[in-house]
Amino acid sequence: MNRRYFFLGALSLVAGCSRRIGTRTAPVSIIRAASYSVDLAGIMRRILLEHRVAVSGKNVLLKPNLVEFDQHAPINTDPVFVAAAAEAFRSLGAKSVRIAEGPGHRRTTLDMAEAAGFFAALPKFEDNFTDLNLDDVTRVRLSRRFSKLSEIYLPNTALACDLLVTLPKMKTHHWAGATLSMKNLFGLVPGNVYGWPKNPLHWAGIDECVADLHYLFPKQFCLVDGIDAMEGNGPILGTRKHVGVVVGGAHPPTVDATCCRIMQIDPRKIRYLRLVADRSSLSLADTRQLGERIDSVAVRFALHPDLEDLHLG
Amino acid sequence: MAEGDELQRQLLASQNPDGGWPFVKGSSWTEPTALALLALRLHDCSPGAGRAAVPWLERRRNADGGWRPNDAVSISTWVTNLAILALPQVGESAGDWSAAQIYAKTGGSCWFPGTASWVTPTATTILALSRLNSRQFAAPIEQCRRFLLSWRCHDGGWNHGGSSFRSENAVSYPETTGLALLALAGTSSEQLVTAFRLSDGFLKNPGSLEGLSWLQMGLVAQGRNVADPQPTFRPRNIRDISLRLLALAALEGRTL
Repeated sequence: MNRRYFFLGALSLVAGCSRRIGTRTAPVSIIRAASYSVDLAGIMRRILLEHRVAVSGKNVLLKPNLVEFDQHAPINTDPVFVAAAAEAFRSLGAKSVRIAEGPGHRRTTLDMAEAAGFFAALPKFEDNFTDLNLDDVTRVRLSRRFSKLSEIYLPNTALACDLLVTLPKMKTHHWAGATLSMKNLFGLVPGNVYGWPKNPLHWAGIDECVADLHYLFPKQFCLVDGIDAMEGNGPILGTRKHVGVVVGGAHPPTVDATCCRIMQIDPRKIRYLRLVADRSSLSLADTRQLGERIDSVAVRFALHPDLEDLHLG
Repeated sequence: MAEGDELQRQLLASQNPDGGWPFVKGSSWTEPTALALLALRLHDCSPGAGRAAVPWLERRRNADGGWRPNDAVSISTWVTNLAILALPQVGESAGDWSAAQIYAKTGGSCWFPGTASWVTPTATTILALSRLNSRQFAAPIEQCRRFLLSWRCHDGGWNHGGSSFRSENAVSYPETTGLALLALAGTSSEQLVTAFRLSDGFLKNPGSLEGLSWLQMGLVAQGRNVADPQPTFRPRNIRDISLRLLALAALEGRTL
């Protein structure tokens, strides 16, 4: 894994990125996007090219965050953002681009997706979407265990993809502090085995299971919807926070650490990030930003009052 | 073709050769198979399909007395409740596994053994144990009823059943509210006034065919007059088709 990010860092140097990339760093891009009406597919294509992501001929699975629908709250990854990601990957030669999600509370996945605007934003959405809560599953043993689980059932659609693209919404979380690329993988866990919510994972340790899932999917790329984000009592009952950025990278912990810093949350205080960082020689600080500097886009996110101590500074 | 006939046709067309049903496509799962079997039985449709589904379902019973959700998954889960509802000849012993999942501290039941209590598994436990019609399950049924009555959202209905800690303003869902009302049939209507009011609002926009179906079944079970608006939602999977057929049967007086 470290070799992979050394390689990416070296490639970025060769590519002549806007900032010098050192060795043993994970590049993370921060690109401004004032709204969902800008050329998001172009922004994402630029990020994918900058990170030299191998897309051509790959079966790509896009994993947005679809939880519940409330027209007044930015709970879900915006469907326009997901449509742009699909367009970007197709334009770079992906063999297939599917979208998949397994919401954690409700079983009416497609109806929620339709209400949230996914059918309108993505042509033939239903044909290209897999409800991971209803997919066939395979039992997988955990090789690098953080949680109490020794094995986990996972949906075959997620296990079969060549590249898992996590498309989270930038949000605060009233238990975990922040929900970003890594926490988004909870949606891969099948409800038809574990229920709604996926409660056995709570009992095994939410943060530990997030870390387990991270290592089960080594081929990931992250594109974080940080345009209209959520602060306060996230991930559902919070309020809109405009940030106006897309954050991307191939190494979920450093992408999430960057997002935390944008939100003015201390990534070392996010337990699942710390768990992964403590077992890796690549620390959360081994990040080199491409595009915008963090301090130029950072904006303090309100946190649940019980979690105020997670703020930076 | 009448809606019910068309849904039955779709259901029969999607049965797997092994006798079970998938959720959408793929291998057979206990949950959609049990719901499809119930739906076809209440519509007195295609005994042949039922003859193939019953042994499929019977063979998914584990040695511990519960049912596994799918051949790829070895552990027994909450789908045991649905198997009990779908297999008329199943004996009282089938209820032992479900009754054993009730968490004494809360009185509710779980999706997955050894974990917390939630609305859907608790409601289906009530339905399954009630179906067995045995005095030995009176106490667990009462425990589950108490759990449901105490585990409501501030609006009087039910969502998935999460804790109100840091989620005081979480709102109900149509589908779980309908299912809870179905399971609470026979409960004094005074305790359900706010849930009825909420359900009347949900019926105008249930959000899904599943939501409409559970609401209709729940309100019929509570003795309420329920209209059947032409659904604007279409079935997304086998569960939706089966639940809509079950709701149509309930509106005609044939219940689980």
